[in-house]
Amino acid sequence: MSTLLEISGLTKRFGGLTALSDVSFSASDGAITGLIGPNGAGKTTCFNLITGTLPATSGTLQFKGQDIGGLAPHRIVERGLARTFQAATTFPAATVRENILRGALLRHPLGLGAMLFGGPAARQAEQAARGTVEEVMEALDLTEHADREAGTLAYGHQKRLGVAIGLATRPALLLLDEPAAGLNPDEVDRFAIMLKEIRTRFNLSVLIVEHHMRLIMRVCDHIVVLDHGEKIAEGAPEEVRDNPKVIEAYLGAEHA
Amino acid sequence: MSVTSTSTAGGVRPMKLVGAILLTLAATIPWFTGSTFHFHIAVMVCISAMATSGLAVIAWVGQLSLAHAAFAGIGAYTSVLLVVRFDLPVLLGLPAGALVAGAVAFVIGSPLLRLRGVYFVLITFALNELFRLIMLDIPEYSGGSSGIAGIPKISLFGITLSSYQAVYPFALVCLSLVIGLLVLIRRGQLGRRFAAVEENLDLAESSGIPTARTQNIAFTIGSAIAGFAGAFLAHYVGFISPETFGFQLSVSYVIMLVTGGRLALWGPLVGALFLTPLPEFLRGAVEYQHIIYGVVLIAVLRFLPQGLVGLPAQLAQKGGRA
Repeated sequence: MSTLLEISGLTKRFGGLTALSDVSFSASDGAITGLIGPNGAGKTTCFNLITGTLPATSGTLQFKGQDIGGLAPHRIVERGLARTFQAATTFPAATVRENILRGALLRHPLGLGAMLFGGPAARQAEQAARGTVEEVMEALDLTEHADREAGTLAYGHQKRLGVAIGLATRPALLLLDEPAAGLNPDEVDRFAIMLKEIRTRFNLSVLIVEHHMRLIMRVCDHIVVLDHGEKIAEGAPEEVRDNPKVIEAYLGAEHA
Repeated sequence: MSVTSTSTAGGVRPMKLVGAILLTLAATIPWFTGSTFHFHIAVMVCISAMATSGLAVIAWVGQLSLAHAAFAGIGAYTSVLLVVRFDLPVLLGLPAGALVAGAVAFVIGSPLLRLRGVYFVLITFALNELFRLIMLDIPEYSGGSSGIAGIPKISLFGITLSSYQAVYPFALVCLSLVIGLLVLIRRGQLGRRFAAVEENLDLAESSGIPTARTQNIAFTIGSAIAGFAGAFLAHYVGFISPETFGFQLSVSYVIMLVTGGRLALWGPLVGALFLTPLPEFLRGAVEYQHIIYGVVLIAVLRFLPQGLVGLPAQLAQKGGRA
């Protein structure tokens, strides 16, 4: 498998605190890569650096062989790297369909004139984007809620809607920030199945930050473990699970 | 096809029709009464509604500008100076005012709009004061604290609109154009982007929407509309000074917007319609205008979070529950 996202020497300091120190790993094309670690390990910081939400102190980020360091978040999405948020994040006053449409329109850009005055180009763009919306809604089992306001949905559905918005931007790599947090065991299982489905259907690669070990072990092809801002292990799920350093990080030295 | 970000309860459609009829009737009141005073108030409502519409466009991307009066002032001074010194027809002065106000907003917008929420409010407040002080400092252009008097009236193709009755139809046309622009924004993809940015800025950015640019577009359009309204005001009243476009005018626009409905299409018009005549009819109480506005603002924030425009929907909801 070829490398889709290549991270090397990534470091982030907040004043005197080093949140992420010289972290290097890569996400392969077509794979589901997991990024795990105890609380405060630097997972979300790592996410924010990759998506351009925070500037890195040093290190390089390459996506599809191109440097994406220092780009604004919306530019990075344009390149094909979308993200979801840890908490359920939606456009609360808009319908589910409208939420997803706002993401889908990225692939149908318009000039300012067409955006303001409409016209055939704008109509065509919206129609094409609506096609994407229907497809994404169906894949994520949201069709029955299409006309409901996002803010009124159950938490689990809102989280799924967050994934749907990201998916609608047609990314090559989708970054999921704790997609299973707050879901009950049933919903987690359904989510695992859904994730594998959308990967095949949308020809997607995934980088997933998660605490939920069962989900991670089930869906990931490759796992990267962070602790105190440093990478302590990397490998296939079984390798990582048996790695004494990982067990120590999670459970303390006496269990290792 | 069209999307509105504000939610409305079901069965509001007939309400909309009623609203449209009421607005049309309200617009014709001066002709029925024939009173010059009513014509004057009606023109003032149109001007306030235009300026507040500009503020609404900025509010649609989640920002509140307290420099709105300053942009009205930039438009006013631009038009007045062009007309007085370069003999430009007023009909060209008005759009020139809009253009210059919009251009200034565009240039200062990108650094300013990095600030959000209360910080943007504070910096725009400072900006409005800065505008006033600069204008006081260049009396050769602004007339200083004594202002500029005897500003030429609006004239259309050689016909001067000297009476209140004559200005009013033109004011209505201008207001219709401004509201038309708002409808276009609201219905098109630009409005969809505005709503996305207003509802959830981080998610909008992560969905590929250039949020900084989108906010700057809104700030530019809104401030240009303010410039147009300010220029109109200058030529209608015939006198401007730096104090005309002080902080208090900015606050009045904010109160009209919030009273009418911050995110509603018709919010600015309803707010202006309600609040512009209020102090005028309470003659002798003009000095209490800001107290009246303050009380109205508190009442609206407490009881009508969606503004007066949201009142029918709110009543319908209450009725449905009972």
